[in-house]
Amino acid sequence: MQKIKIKEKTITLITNALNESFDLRIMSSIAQDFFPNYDINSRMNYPPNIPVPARDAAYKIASDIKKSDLIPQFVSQLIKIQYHGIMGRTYNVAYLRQIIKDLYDAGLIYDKEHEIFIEDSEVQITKNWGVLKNGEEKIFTFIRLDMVSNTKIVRDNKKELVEKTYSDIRKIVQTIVEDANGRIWDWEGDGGLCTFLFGNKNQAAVSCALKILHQLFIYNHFRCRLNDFVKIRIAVDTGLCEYSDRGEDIKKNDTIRKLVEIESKHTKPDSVTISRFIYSDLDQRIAKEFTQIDVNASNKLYNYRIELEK
Amino acid sequence: MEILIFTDSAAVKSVFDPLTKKKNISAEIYPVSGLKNTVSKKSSDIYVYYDISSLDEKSRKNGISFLAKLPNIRYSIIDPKNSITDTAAEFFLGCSDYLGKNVFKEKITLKRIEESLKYKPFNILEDSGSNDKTVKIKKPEYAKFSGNSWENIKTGTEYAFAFLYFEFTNISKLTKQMGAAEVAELLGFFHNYLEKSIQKYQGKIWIWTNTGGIVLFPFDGKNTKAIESALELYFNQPLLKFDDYSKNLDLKLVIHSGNTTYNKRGDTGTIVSDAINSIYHIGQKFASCNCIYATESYCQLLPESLREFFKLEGEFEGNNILSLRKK
Repeated sequence: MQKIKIKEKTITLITNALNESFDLRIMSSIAQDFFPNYDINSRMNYPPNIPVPARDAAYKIASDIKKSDLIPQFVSQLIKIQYHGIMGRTYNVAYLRQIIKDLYDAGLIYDKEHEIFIEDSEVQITKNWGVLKNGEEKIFTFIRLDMVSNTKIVRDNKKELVEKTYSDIRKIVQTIVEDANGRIWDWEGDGGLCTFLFGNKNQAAVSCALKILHQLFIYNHFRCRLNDFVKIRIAVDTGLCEYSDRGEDIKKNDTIRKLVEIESKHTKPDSVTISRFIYSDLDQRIAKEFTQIDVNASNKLYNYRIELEK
Repeated sequence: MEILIFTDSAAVKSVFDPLTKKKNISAEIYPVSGLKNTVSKKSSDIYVYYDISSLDEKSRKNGISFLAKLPNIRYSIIDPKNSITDTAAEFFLGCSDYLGKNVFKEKITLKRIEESLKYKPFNILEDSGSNDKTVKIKKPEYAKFSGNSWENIKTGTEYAFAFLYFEFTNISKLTKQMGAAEVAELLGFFHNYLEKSIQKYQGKIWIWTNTGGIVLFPFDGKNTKAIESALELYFNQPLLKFDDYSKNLDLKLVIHSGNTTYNKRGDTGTIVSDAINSIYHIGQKFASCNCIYATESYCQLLPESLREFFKLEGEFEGNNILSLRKK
């Protein structure tokens, strides 16, 4: 995972911001949001009864935050304090404008809805949007895609042709998903997992799923050189998940397991199935494109396919 | 099927007489001068035998041209004097059988007619949804092909292009609902979306007005960039609403191929092009929204797998128009 490079100048600015805006007690409290039980005296080998000079404490906190790759999150916290205050008091955080500008220059943009910095996808694209840490739990929206009859495709066609086709399809998916600030978390040749976290993530995921299906229709009719059309099953759902760099960890998550079930058991080839949570979040005009599937009384799913008049 | 024989010749009448007396077939003989009136009153399920032996060249061409333009009939030419020198050209126009001097010496049998009915002129396309709905098409005459990219296209030169006509059908309604400024913003958004969407198919917005326009695609006589782009626009149209706009534009989409002089965008006012004229007329007078229309000459480029979804809508100003729509 590529790290966002934060310049030393920004660390100096953060040090100055802490030093000039907060007393030692508030500084420690902000640091404890990131490192529970953070004790500035013990971090700096000062006896408990000797106060650490504020400037030195500020520098130590900024350095520890940098070492842990938490600068974007820390600055997000400073922005929250600027607007909402801390411990019942409002503060004017010094140098905040310059610090934010430095982060923009480093390729980060501020997502107001989630109050965090994420990578600017024009600058770089990483699985964690440049900010998520392993183990960080968020409500994500997922797209699961699977090409139908992979074994038959592989058996009936030349290897190079299959590889080229799968690579074309991955490119189609990647272009559509990343254009909507989604990320491909996992890809295994004949399908994968895409994730959305920011903005209207449910609508974005459905929009991407439909666009992928449409683009595959065009690909099949005009570009596909396999013996038969490539058919795909797509499912969309949302739920809690811990971020992990390792694909294996993510597969164990309950939301993902449920998603795989929707895709494999309730989605016909060449169609998109979405959960009722996703459906309820859709704009009415998009929602009406879907047909309800009654799985059981408590579990309603909705399906979309391209149906043309013949 | 009803067989109509148009002849003033006693010899020809005697040849067809046995046919008119058969019980299992409906055949009648008419004077040549009654061709247009009689045929116009009949249903589409007719087969015309047209004797040209008594006609001068102008009247002959006029009569054949009339038959060739009718969308849903079959016709054959009776030419006992062999006055037509290029018989192949007649088949190209849509003629099903030609009874020349040699053939004419024999009696015209039912078998002969049945054989000619089996023959399907190459320019007759059957509607996939209906067996009796057939029309004749013009073979496109292309200028120099513009190719597969914009690389060698020069301004002021005539090329064959593929065109995508788009028209917003709900602008007045939206203006009443949203106001002119909001609609202008919405059109600006659509312009940017369209520009991005057609880019991968080498399309360029060539004509843009506040009610629609034309996208131009380089065309080599075979490529299908225009329809691919139209399909993407058509399928993704409901999704445009996700981009912050609560209202959407209803679109008409028409695809055609033909010739035009290429001038840069904004400098197209003086261009005279039959193809541009045709696509505008189809778009404005024939097409409706929520559907893709394509002229038959363009549809013939489509892969068979997709062609089955294009239904014949009818003939308009000499073009057969097909359409694809979602259920």
